[in-house]
Amino acid sequence: MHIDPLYGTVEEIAEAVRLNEVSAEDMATLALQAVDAINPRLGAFTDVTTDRALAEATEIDAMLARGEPLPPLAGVPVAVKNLYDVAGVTTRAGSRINRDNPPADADAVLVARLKRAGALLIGTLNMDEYAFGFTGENAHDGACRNPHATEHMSGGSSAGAGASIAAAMVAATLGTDTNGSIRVPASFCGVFGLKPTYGALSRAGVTPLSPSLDHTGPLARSARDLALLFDVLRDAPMTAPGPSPTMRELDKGADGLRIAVAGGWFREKGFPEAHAAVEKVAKALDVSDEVELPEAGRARAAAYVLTAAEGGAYHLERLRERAADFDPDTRDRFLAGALTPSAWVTEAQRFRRWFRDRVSALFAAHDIILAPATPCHAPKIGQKTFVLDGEEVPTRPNIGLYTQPISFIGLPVVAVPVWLDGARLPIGVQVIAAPDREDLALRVAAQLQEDGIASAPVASII
Amino acid sequence: MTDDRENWDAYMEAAIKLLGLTVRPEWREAVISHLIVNAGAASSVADFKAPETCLPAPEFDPRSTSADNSPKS
Repeated sequence: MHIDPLYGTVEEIAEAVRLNEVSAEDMATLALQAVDAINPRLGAFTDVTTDRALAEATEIDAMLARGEPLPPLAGVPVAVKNLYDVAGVTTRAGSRINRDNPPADADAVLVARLKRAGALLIGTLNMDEYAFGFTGENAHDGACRNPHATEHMSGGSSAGAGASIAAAMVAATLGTDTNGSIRVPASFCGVFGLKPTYGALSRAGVTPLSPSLDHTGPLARSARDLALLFDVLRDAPMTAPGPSPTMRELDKGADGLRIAVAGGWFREKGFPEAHAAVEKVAKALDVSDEVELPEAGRARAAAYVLTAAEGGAYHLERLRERAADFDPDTRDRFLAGALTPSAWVTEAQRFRRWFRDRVSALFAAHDIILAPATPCHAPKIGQKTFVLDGEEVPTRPNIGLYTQPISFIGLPVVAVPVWLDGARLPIGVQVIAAPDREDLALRVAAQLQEDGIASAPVASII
Repeated sequence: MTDDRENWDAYMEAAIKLLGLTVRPEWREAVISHLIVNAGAASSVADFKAPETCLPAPEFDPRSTSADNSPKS
């Protein structure tokens, strides 16, 4: 294990606590000290739950002292996007408006599962307001900065969920992903992110953006950790100690999997680094096949319509009563979304079924599809436009160019972080599988990490 | 449909009144621009003309008692 226990993976930390090499209280204290020291430069945390973390640590240490078996995440510092309910903490959802609400009276289901698995909750994390954005910028809490280059975006909307891991303040986080909000910060901050199959993980106790498309999922610095977290979060039966059911699958590696690169839409528009990262991964996996997801551009457009309409409808009362208190970057989009004709929504949902059927057919011949996660490295904070295929376009919506068509039909994806030669910032590649085959995507991600093609080094923050 | 700013302005004006919303003058241009972007996206989807046998994707589960109707809540 690394000399600083916080630099360890989830698996390593839990093992060190189990072997009494470090106490859970030490882990909580180290994480809280790291947040104190580093967070002012990043803006990743919005609430720090010191008392809870220390109480949870005391409980773990007491279990160990009594000789009881420890749960799988015992002593592991974690944090959650402030979209998740945490008992005793007001769920900000990145907003000014919601912080007038009373504190949540119970944990979200997934937060409770982390607690039951022995994790230490260090706090809640910065995000784009109401999860409606890809930048990690927030008018109320300030921008969440990229730990690898603090003048750059962390990506959003699960901004702090990516940045806090890349900076080793915690070992794992929970994010949400409607159009790319786990995969984008994973790409920009250089960590692993799992957006599971739509509906695979509970959303109870999580503030929605667009229920047709909302997913919950974990981020971490290793693919093995994602497998363990996925099993904890889906409440898979486990025997401790030892690898969890999905972790055991990882030993199979990528051998025998039929892998292709997504062509068409996913080969267009992006900056060279987006395609170079896919090429690097494809070469390492000896992949030459290419498949085309038909009408992927329309899939993105349909996801855009659904998000706007459902988001606008969900926030209608707040838009009536307190429109001026929204972040200006989200308010105008929610207002426009609230005016969406219903026929547009129905058409988008009809197209969704068509697109799902066509993409499902591709999985008869392939197990995994590779695609860029973002069209570029993290842009600078405040950057309003960039040039794609010679056309100047707004940065904010186009960051999700490659993620939106995939979450639109709820496929499981692992975003793996790639460092290109000489690059100052990482960039992610989407490893996409058929519904309910998270195990296959995680096998490929773990293989890439083992081979050094994907990696999530802790940032040196200057 | 997407470049008819005057029509979208009139649509917004009528719709916000009916929905009880207020759009301040300084927000107006941005809201109309977003409406036009949404219209462009919707138009792209509508132009595709999925077969009429293709029903909308959402399904309601009458057996679920959960708040979010997702299978694992």
